[in-house]
Amino acid sequence: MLGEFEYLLLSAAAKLGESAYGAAIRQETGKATGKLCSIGALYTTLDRLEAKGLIETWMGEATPQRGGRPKRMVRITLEGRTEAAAFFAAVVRATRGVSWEADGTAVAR
Amino acid sequence: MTGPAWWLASLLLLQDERDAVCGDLAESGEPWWRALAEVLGLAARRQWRRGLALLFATAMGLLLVRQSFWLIQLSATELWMYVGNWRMADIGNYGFWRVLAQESGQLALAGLWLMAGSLAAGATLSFAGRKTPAVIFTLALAAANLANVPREGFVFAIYSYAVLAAVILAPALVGWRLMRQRSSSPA
Repeated sequence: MLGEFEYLLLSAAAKLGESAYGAAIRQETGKATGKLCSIGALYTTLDRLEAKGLIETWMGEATPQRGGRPKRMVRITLEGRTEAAAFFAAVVRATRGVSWEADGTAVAR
Repeated sequence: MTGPAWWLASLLLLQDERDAVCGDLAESGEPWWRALAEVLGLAARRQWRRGLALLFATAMGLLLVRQSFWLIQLSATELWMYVGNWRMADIGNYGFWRVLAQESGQLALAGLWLMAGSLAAGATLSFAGRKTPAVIFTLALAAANLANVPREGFVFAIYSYAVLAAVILAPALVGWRLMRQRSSSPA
């Protein structure tokens, strides 16, 4: 089972498609959660996902706005898509019948 | 991405990761102090196990050296007493054998404890990942030995080094080697 941050990164990488790399994934998760994650959390989680075989990474092109340094590109594997779908389904099942109020309390629907 | 963070990254991160991280920080336009904190945060996440292992092994190393000198002094004194005061009549003396067995047992037990501690310290050092910590540990032991042991004569120095090798260096090396083999073998 994925962790929630792992799921966030996989979702961001899926949304970015071919242009998924460290800084872009960080921006995308920042948009989703309202807060930028730390570089440490991002890269150690990418390593963990890669070790589990859920993503593939490789060094990509260098651009002038990056000071001529290459990107670490990310691609989700088939196993990664399956795991993310299973996590999403579990969250949907767990949330079914529950409505979250603005003050943080949960009410059964 | 400014100087301090780049300098820190080049010290603490491997080349590919350093390039990717510094590129990300440059692209997102982080101020230098924030970039520095980000690099430090990543290095801490990467190296915490190594730092903890080094701290434990250093503390163990100091404790082991101290205890081993106590063992060397005590066992050398006992040995000298027995060799220097040996009489044939002692062979048939029940008290002689009883005291000898008791004292030898205590020394052997103390030696075994030291060996177990050294084995644990060596195994812990393997979590530090590279060879450098093991070299530092060995050098620290050697320096401690040189500072303390050989002043009381050649024979005593040789005896001291033999005990140190048996209760500290050899078990630590075995523990380190075993854990390295275990972590490098396929799961």
